Amino acid sequence: MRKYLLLGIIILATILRLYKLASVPPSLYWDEASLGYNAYSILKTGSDEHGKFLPLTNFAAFGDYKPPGYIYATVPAIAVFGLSEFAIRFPSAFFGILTVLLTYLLAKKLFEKENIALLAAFFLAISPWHLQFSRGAFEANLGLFFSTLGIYLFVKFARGNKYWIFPSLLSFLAAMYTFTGQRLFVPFILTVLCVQFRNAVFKNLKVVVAGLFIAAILFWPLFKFATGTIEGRLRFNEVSIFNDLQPADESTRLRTKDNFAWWANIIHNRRLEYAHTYLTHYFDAFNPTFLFIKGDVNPRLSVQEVGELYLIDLPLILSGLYFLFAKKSKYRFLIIAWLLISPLGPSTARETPHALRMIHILPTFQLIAAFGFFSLYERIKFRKAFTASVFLVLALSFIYYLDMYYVHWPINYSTQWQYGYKQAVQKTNSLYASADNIVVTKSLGRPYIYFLLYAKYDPRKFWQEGQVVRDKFFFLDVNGFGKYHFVDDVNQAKVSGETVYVSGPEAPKGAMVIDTVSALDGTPVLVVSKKNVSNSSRSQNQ
Amino acid sequence: MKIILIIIFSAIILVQANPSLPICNVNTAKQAIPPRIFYEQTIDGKDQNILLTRFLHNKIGIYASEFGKCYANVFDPNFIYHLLGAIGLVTWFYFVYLIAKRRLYPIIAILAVLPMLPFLKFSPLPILLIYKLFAIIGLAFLLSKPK
Repeated sequence: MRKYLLLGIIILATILRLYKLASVPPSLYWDEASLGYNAYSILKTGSDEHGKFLPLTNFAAFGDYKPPGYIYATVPAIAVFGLSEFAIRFPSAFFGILTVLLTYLLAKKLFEKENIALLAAFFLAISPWHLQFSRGAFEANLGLFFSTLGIYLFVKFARGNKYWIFPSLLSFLAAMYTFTGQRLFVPFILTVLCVQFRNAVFKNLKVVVAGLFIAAILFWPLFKFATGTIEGRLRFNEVSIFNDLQPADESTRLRTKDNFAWWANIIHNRRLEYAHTYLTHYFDAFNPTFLFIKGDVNPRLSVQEVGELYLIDLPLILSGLYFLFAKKSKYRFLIIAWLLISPLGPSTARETPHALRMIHILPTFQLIAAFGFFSLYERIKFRKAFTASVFLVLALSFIYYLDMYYVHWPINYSTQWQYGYKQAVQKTNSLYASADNIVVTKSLGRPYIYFLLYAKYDPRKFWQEGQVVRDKFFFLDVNGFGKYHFVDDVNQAKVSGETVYVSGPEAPKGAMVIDTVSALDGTPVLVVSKKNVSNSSRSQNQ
Repeated sequence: MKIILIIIFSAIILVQANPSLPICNVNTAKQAIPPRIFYEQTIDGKDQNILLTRFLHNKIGIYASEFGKCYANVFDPNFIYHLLGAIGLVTWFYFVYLIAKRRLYPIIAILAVLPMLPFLKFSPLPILLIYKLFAIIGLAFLLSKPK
């Protein structure tokens, strides 16, 4: 019976992650498009979009130097399904399903109760947090799978065969090669695991040291890149609160107010100000409105009307936390420490709470909630009524979430997913042969990647034709390739001849509108138009 | 020594500035209903069964969601951190754990009812004072805990 239940949960997880995967979220965000085209480029040429052969530590992409894990995981999907939205998102969905299975296995190891394991897997299968990231090409979701696998294999090592330490460390390594946020999480979780299983670690010290030595060798290229190059530090420097001068200014202001007294230098020390800012960001991670009511403020990362967890999870999590301590659960240190260390890295960033950057906190909430439910169930008198009411509320919350996710969210927030590019590319493709130039606005951001992706542009041709420039923020931008020109203002484009324009909601002066692409809420986002530009009219425009 | 520590940390908890709660009460909850209900029901459209639309997007649900938001503000760890400081936050949680463990239902009830004050537009001052008191009691219990 229980085997069938597990099978049912996995089937449910599969349906929830694969149903309408290509169309909800409504279109590919630029990072997804970039991951997809780089994977396509690897498949076709063995090199990335900029022509670098099998990158090991990073893909330059937009100059954000993406970790390689997700891109390589997408290559087989594109080989099988072709270059499509479904193929690009498939690895995330597939490993999301496997994470549900892994949660079952991990919970079984930690609590030694089949019911808790099934419940934890079920909670993760229907979790708004996990579904949101399993249904988009998010590197973080693949990173989550690897780190959870690493934890599970470490537990196996500690409770059985000592050689499990090698695949465990390799999984952690894969997590770090997949998602930047994992580079801050893995050292902390490894420390927690070593403390929790210190007896096993000391007993098998030689094997552990050998494993760490191998992992260190494999990690070395990434470490060198992440710490020793401007490119590697770029993203961290961009988002870090420690590059924000506001706490230092605040310290100076307060010290000035106190006339720079010796005690003011201690109390209003800028390091303390930074520590205070950091702690504020840390506690943001446990903001109840974020967790249970509204979710992440970024509409790409949550549906906005449902929390990252369901409201019914709250009493279950609270009772789970209580019973972990009250029952002196054997692995309470591991679970609570996992929960508490997960926001340590993301708290260094300016935007908090951030559902994407702290996704490795999953599935702790589900493990705790399952344990809480089971502990309450054991103690309560009216067990059937309790179970029925919890599952009824959960079912209602889940139905509401599904309605918001499939019906409301795509319409409300399609522009957040750069909706319109695909339709614009399809339209310009039909005009490509007859046009001398195709001028595209940059107003929606990074248009070039969509034209490469949806036109399935030959990467080798792009290497030769691509006008790649580095902007003032050190990011890479593309001003054109082939007949395409990407400009800030389409009216200022220096072209002549038969020209197709893809502009913002308004067509350039004198151009004939061919098609208007509207977002799903009906707002016009892009206009495709054409005009014959002679040299004289070009100079008049300028 | 323990008494000195309790006095010092209690003083630290007491001198922390009182943060203000976001404006969130019965009025803001009521105001949120019409635009949300109109918007959500419009998106559902005429093709969807009216009963299903009413079931998913109704006044009670939206009001409950707004109430939940207001209620959650009082338990926001950042609010507690700014009110009590980092040590106060830990001892406050320890106190909550203790009242749950000892099943002190009247105190649990006080804790559960407190967020209603700002929602019903009463002064949040009792919350600030009671939280500080809870943190100090938690501190005293934590430091006097036998090894």
